[in-house]
Amino acid sequence: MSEQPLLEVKNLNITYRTERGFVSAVQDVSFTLPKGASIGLVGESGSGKSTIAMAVMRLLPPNARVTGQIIFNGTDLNAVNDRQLNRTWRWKQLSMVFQKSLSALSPVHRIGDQMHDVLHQHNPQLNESQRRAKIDEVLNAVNLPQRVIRSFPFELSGGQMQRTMIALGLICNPPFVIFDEATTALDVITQAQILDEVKRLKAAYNLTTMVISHDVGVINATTDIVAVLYGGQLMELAPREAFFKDPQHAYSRALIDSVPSLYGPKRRITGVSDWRTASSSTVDQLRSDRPAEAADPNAMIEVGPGHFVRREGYLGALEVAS
Amino acid sequence: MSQLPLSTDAALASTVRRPSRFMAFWKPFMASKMGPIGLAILIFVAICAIFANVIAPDGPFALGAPRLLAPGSEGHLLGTDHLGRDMVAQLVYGARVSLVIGLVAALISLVVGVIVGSIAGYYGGWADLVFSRITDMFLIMPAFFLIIIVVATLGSGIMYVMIVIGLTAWPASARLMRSQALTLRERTFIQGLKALGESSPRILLRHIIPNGIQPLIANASLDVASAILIEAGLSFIGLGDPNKATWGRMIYDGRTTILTAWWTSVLPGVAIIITVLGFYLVGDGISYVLSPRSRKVQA
Amino acid sequence: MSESQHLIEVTDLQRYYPIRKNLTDFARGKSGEVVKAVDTISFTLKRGEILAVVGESGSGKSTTGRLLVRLDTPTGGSIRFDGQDVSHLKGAELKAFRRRAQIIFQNPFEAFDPRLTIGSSLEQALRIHDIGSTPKEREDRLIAALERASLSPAREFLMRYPHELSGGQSQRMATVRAMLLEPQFLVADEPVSMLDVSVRADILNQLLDLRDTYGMAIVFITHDLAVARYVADRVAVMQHGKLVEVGETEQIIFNPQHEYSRELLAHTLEV
Repeated sequence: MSEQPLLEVKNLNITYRTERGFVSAVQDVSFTLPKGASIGLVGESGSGKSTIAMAVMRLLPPNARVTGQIIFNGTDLNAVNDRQLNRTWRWKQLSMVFQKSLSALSPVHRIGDQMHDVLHQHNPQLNESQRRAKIDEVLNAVNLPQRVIRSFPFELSGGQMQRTMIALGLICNPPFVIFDEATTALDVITQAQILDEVKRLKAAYNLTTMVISHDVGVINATTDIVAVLYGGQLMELAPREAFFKDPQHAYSRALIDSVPSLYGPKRRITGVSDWRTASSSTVDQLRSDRPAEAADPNAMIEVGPGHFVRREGYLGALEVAS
Repeated sequence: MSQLPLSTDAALASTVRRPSRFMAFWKPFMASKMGPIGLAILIFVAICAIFANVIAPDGPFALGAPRLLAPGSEGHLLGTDHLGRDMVAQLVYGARVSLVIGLVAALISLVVGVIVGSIAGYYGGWADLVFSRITDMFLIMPAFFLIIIVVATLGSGIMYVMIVIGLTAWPASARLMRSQALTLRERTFIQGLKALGESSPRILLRHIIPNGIQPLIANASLDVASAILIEAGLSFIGLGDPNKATWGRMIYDGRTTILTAWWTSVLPGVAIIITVLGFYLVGDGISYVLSPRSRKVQA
Repeated sequence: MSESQHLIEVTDLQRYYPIRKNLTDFARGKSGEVVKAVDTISFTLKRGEILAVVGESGSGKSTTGRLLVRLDTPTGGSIRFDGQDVSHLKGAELKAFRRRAQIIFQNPFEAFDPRLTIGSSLEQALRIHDIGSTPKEREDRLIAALERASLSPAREFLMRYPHELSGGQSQRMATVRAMLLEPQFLVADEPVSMLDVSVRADILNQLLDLRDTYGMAIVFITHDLAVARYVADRVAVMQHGKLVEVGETEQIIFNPQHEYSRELLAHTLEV
């Protein structure tokens, strides 16, 4: 099955130019996303996961420098100019659902008007009644009542706001949607409902998705592939089941261990700040076994089908051939 | 040697080599382009004012024989007025008055505004009700007419002018400080201080005011400029202090000869414009420092 | 004075907010409506016990926390602290109470005055209550407290400004500040909600250590049942201002009686 993957990120590097010099946000990140699959980018604040999402949508601020390739359906988006990107790709091919906040939507316009605006901008060929039909369709899809059309953003609850953001993301029927910490600020029950909604919509619209979250629980609930990021670098890339069953990187393990369990056996959880002590011994061993080989700590080792681990921090280091 | 980046905690530890608070203000201020220009102008005006007695040892009222000399004439760099008084002397002494009026008036406005606004905003309830109505009362008073009335009845001493200008300008500062206090009192660290047992007056003085005052400082420079303009206006209609050499009075004195000896009115006018511009630019610079978002760097 | 068995006894606690009448309601003679943020709840807390108050936004859990440390005043019912009715304390008595009951908040990024160094902010806590008679003595206390909380090098931390701390460090620092007063009771209002999942453990463990080392009684407010299970001995579930279920943690988790408790459990994500 050699179908072209929907998204291929190759050697993505992102640096910011700031008043104090250059800051590296993302270093040499690569991954592949097949059509219809969902990839989760998980990591702490500042790990680069949101930056990668913004880079895919080309929404980074002007002082960001991006190198590498972001190949969407065969085209490198980094090589496309902004006007073309707007006309052909943005929102119609790729869209994004942001974290709930009143600043995600214009507070002085009604929801319905904002949705009309989006359609008008991206699908100008539709007339008034066609737009109206589309709006009704997406509101139905996210289980929002019609009266939302006449509401202002501040009149909506957190869950309703989030569903509105999802509806807006789907309104131009893009095949690819990014969810950037989309449920982070929501209550437990609301979050669970929204995540269910997303799963359902993914199946109904045959979406390919990217989910950004600092919460491994969210990643476990909604994704097929897991990408763990730390300090702008990829630590582990694995199919979800393999990842949660047996994570191969010290940082991944620390991440999973830092979450308290509801039903499992009670054990002491630890923060991730000391995760490197688990791996430092393995790195030393690696060196002493192969003194001649200057092993690149940044290389990704393949440890299983579609399962890659960064060399430094790899828990099974002793068995590595090369 | 591990090439892995530091975790956030460790990375933060290595940034503690931080600039002093002064430098944290100075560097962006200098980068604002407008700020340094304004500052340069104000420094120039201040030097003229401070060293007025050095630049013009005879004082501004020294009457001289040659009258209405044009600028560039011998002995009088910018000419003389209809009474033979040297223009340069009057301008530099006038700078003293203008700066003093501007700064004192703005200071009165700031102090009264901060006190009223912060109490109204932080305590809320009755205090807010009473102080807001007082603020409104002062706001609806037409300032210029009030000043004229005060000056006409009590006399045109510089003191009265300064106080009256200050007392009519404070409502704007009060409004601003009140909204700052309203926002600040809900902030977590203020709630935390209350929970620790800190007294309300202390919280107001040590935490609310210092954290909320920054936009008022930017406004204050505009207040100085406006005070200078009001004084000039008063002098121009003859209500200024006749014993002081002020730029406004110079324009007033020169109005009869404006067609034949333009410099008598135009030069002080230019002085006012330059000084006011200086204050505006400094205010812009301060605003620039206070809003980090406007300071984007291009890649 | 008999020492009561419970450190805190909350009886029929109420916090109602009147909604201002508008003119038409007034004309029609309608009485004002109230928002019942906390609606007649009762519970107790023993010394050295951690009680988790669990609920979603609007449940009244945060308001309850604020009432317990008297950042707010109840409109009905009572709060007894160590046998004393603290519901309507004022002035010096209220300040004395504050030494015994402290709170840490949800937002670690705004926990301290941004214009002061951490050292100044911490010292202020000591000065408010006249703890320590000389600056040197106060400084020693601060350093000892920081070292105990593994925030070292202590002197270096004292010189930092709030924006130079990570979220996790800031929250631990806020806890240190509360502990400087040597309270018997701490309210932790969603202390980890705004932090990354991976750094929560440090703060949770810090609170557990407070309980183990000092016998601290803690009310831990959260919407996350897995977190509640990790720290708490007992759990109280709130919905719409009312207490719907209280019990031992394991009981609530494995044998919930109320429908809402079951719903919360069912929607909690597991890894």
